[in-house]
Amino acid sequence: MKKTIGNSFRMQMLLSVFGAFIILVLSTTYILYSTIRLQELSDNSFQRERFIKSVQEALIAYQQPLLEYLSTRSSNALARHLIESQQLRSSLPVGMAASREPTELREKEVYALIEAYLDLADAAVDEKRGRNISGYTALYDEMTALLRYINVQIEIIGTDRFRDQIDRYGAFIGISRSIQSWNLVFIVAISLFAILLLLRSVEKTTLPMTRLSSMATGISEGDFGMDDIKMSSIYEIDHVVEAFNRMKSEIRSQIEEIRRQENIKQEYMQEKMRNLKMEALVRRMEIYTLQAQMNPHFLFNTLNTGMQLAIVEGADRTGEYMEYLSLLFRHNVRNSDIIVPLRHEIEGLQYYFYILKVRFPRNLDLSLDYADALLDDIRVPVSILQPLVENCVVHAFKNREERSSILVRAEKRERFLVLTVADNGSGMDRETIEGLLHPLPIDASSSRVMGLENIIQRLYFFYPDDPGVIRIESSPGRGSSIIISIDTEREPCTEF
Amino acid sequence: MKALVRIGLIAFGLLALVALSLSLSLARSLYSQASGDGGGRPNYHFSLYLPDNHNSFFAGIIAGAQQAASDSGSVLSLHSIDPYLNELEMASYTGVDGVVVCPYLEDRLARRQLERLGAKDIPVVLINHNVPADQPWPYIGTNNFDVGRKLGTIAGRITREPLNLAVVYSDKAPGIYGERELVEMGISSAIAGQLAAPIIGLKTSMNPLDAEQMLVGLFRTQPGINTIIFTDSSDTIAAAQLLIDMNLVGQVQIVGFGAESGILEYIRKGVIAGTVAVNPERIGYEALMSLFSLRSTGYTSTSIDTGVDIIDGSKL
Repeated sequence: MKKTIGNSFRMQMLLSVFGAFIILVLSTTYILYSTIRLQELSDNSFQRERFIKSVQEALIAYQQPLLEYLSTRSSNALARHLIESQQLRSSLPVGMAASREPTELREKEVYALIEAYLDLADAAVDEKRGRNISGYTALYDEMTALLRYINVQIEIIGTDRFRDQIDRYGAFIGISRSIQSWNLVFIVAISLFAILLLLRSVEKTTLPMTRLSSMATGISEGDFGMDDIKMSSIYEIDHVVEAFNRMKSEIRSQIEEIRRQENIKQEYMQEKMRNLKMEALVRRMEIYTLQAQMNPHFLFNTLNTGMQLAIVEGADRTGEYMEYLSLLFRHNVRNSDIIVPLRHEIEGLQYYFYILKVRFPRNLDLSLDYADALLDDIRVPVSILQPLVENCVVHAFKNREERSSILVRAEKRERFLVLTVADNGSGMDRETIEGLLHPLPIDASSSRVMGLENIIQRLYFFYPDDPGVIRIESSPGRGSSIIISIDTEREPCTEF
Repeated sequence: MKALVRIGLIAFGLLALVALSLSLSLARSLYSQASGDGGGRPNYHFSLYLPDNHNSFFAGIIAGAQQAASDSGSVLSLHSIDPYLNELEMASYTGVDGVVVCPYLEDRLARRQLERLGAKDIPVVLINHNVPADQPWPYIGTNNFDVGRKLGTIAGRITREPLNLAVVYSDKAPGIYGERELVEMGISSAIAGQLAAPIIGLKTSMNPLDAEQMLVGLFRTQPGINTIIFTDSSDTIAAAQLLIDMNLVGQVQIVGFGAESGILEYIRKGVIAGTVAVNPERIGYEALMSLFSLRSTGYTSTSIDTGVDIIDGSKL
């Protein structure tokens, strides 16, 4: 805002104070003026009466020098007559217009009569100078009659005017009271208006200062989110307000920048920490794998020796069992790939099924349902089916007398490979399912993640963007179905 | 707080404006009443000199004259013609632009005063009563011979029997009284063959109740009177009520003057045989318009007959 005389603090204060003052002075002046005018109006009606009475008195006083001159022909009397005649003529209204008011009309006639009377007087004086006795005597008679008539008319005018004044007085008083009542309303309303105008001006001046004070308190308490203070159209105040708003904005933006940098740093540290934990986990898994590979090699060689011993001794069924057990260990040990064709998983499962059938020949039904076409086309994470079947055998059929069955199915639904491991075991409650599907964070969980939890964690690891890659449909006493849905069009995530 | 201040500013500002406007408006009306200036400057100032009588006839003349003054943009002052007030005597000094006079006074006195006005070149118009003079003053009013003829016509319609007729003049109708010979000539011309005796002339004063006393005396002294003609409306009404009171309705016939509602009601009831009506408003109006024409153009009609109408039971 550019500083001008109009928007300066001093001028605003002067304008508001003097504005209210001028309004009050003007309104008081109007009240005074209207009161004076009412008094004048009231006085006017008497003024005309006083005037005509003064003319009447002058006319009566005029008789004396006239009669003296007509009686004595005194030059002094003539001089006085001429002076008073002139004064009377000059006092009469000149060119008085006819009025529609009967009393004023009669007044006009009276002034004409007085003029005529003065003319007659002048004529009588002329007759006196010409020594025409009968002339000025007759004129004097005429003048006397005229003067009597004038006096009667003036009395009538006075009476009429008095009656008229009485009639008008009531109306005049009524209207005067109304005017004074409205004037009172006006002065009260305009005074309140002026006071409010002053209040508004004071508020306009002080409000930004009050807000500045409260904003300063807020900022001192660390609150930088307050709205900017509005401008007041007063240059000096706006200048302070603008500087304050700018200071607040700058502090806020600097604090936000510091916070942003801190957040980035924190996120970076968290990411780094997570990577470190992941690496540690991978190391641990590698160690487990090595341990697992070392032990199976010993078992594998031992089993081969056992199998040969069974053949030599003619125990064919034992030999076959040992062979399948050997094939299963070889299958698990030899392949070090993370992602394998589905065929690899199915083959391993078939070996495992043979062993299970030998272990549980009477009360366990095992079914494997798949299409050959899927086996080589689709790749899956290694060792995801066998642990699930093992999980069923270990946990699902505890304390059950009925015949148990496990169904493993591989099928293609649109672009998804759906692997289902279903059993008719004791099932799981919802809390158990939720606990399995939402395991604790890596750093909070036990390092001994085995079986179903291992499969779930690995699947989440390989398919991090697909939370539905594994789900469990189960309820207590009604068996369980673990369903793995692998998007065949997306590669599993194998990078950290 | 801010909103309250704003609302207060608007409310009190408007209230102050309304109060100021009303105060100014009332003050203006008061000033205009006090100045009494309504309708611009008048063209002329005329005076109307009438008998000091407030009956409906003269009230009608005044109303007509005031209407004409308003129409012509003039003003009218009213004066009494009664000699003791000396107003007509002083009329020549009043500075008026013209005078309408109803000169019911003695002709000589009236003529002298009218000539004084003429000497000052003040135009004069006479109404209701003419003054024989060398100077032809314009005359506005009824022809009194015609008035008499129509009064006689009504009387003649009442009966074919011989009429014992009385005519009651009045100071309240000075114009007719001033030309009573003409009136009686008019009556005679209408019913000359029916008159059983000469017309008896009577006169009432300004007292509106005077007719009753006068009629009681008449019935006592002239029991043969069977028809009475009146020349004033107040007398007509008073006489009709007396006939009812004395149970003389039908025996004595009344021919009235004027068209007041009371008279018309008596005609409907058959108490009054008929009446003649003049139009006083038209007389007053035409008189002032003649004066205005005389003043503004210098010319006007020598006389205007405002006409007389007969009103009897057949017209009501």
